[in-house]
Amino acid sequence: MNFLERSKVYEHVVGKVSRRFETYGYSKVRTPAFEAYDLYSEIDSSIPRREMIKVIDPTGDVLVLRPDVTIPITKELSHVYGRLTSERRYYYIQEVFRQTGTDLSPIEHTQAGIEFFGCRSPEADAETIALAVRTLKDLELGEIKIEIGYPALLDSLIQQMGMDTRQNIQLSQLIVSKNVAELQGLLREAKIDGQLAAAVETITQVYGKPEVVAAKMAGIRLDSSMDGILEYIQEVCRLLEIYGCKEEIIIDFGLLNNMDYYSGIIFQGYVEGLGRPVVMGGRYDKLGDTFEADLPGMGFAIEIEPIVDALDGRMTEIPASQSVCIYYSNTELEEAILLAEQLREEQYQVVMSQLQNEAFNDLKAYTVLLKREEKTVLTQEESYQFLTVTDVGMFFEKEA
Amino acid sequence: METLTIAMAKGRTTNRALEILSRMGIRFSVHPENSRKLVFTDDTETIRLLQVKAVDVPTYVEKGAADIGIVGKDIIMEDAPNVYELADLGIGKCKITVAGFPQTVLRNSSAMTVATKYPNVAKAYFDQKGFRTDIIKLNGSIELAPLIGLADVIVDIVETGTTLKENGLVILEEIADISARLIVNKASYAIKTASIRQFIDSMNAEVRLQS
Repeated sequence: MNFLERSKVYEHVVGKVSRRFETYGYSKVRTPAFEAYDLYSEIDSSIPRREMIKVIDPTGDVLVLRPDVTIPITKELSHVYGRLTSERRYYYIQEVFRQTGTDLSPIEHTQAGIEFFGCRSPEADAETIALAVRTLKDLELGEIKIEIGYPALLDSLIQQMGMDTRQNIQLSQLIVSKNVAELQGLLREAKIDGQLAAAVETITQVYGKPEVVAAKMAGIRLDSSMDGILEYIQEVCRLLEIYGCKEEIIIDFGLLNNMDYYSGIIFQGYVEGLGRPVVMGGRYDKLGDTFEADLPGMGFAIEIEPIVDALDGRMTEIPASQSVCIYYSNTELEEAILLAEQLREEQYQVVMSQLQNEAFNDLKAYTVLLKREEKTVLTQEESYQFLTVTDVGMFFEKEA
Repeated sequence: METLTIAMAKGRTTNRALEILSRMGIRFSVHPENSRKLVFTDDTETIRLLQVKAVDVPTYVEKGAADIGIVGKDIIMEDAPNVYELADLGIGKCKITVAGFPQTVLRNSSAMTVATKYPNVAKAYFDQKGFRTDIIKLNGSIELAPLIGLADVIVDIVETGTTLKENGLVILEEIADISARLIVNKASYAIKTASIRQFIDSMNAEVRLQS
């Protein structure tokens, strides 16, 4: 895809995504590109320090190029409200900058995301996940799957096991790769109580439709707080069914936090043919505490570039409905300018071009030919003949 | 059934894997082993096989170019790809070890020079022990390094130990047991859950029959 095609597809994707966000009552916000490095060192390990792009300003302070959007939006909001009395819905389409890993992957990514503040309920979680599904559906990328997890479920079991740091890191790696064989080995080696070990094994493997998961989870004995979590998730799934998202939903309790600020439900979404998740999100009720504000929130971010790549060649170009090209012979220049100005006043998108031969390259909804002896308007389907430019103007007035 | 794409490398382990596939009813009229082709489709047209370099298998799977990969645990340990590791096929068994001259003592005095194909595995292993190391990445004939004084020890996979023996080297420490694993792309697992589960279950059944 060359730069021109890419820009076109990018605008198409971003346009669709913003329109969908707006239908759910979200309004657009922007955050600065440069931020204080301290903002991110305050919040424990949410973003690995080596992944951030650092810059030094003239006074010697260290700045970073925006590595995340949820943190700055929460911070800004905490300056406005110490406590929310009503719900707040914001969306953004911005670049984030991170140097992940040692590979040569680009450091600049466009994220389109939403933040839903002030509501802590299954209703809010279901609405947010449904919005993610709807937005991906709008982009017509093929099959969509959203995996929903709840890391606290495994975290509390892992804490009860009391293993050392090294074992815990190893355990998380085995859980996220669903490597049950080695997980069993590690639990045996660490002499973990049979019932606890069985629960961790089961939860790691739980993957599928909500009803199947409920049946599997019924087989393990959990404490009352966990029962509460399971009921909460069942309720979110029931609501998602009403939103028409039953087919897209998968429960995956092996899903662990990728951002430390998540505190409740987390989710990630895949589309057919793309190997990496294109949407990630979750609930972050405790993030506001860092800024001494009570700001429960739920949000997600969609990765734009992989979607743009996936749509390469799949998009059929449709001319904007209000686009016009006026071709004029030299004698008609003055009339062409006046017509163009009149149409622009009526919100048409107008370009003008000198008539050289009868080849029209530009794909427009309307093509106007102004020659001394004839005035013609061509649409995609029809052709209309007029005697004067005034008649042409009247034709467009009617179309508008 | 939807098509599944499997990436594996040419070699002995792959031939064993192909035997397992064939017992599962997945057969190739052109035998991949005897061909220079890189892409094969099985006779029922449900499996597409990609022949790639072993070290590239995790990349193909992580990026979603293949749904499934069959690759040695040594390569998974070195690469740490973001994929699911869902089965141990119990074939291609060997060990990843620290090897050197028989009298070599591993201790944290001055920095030890380690030659290896697996710099990440070697570094993690010695870091955990608290040993300082200089790691030299080589791509083959690792056993040569101690012989000519390029390194104090090597970290490499050992199957029978013949190569070590012929070069006067011994295993000093064992790092981990290695065997071929089945890895799966996370997006493929979400989108094609049923087909992939079915494939893994029938593969596991065949593996259990053999052991």
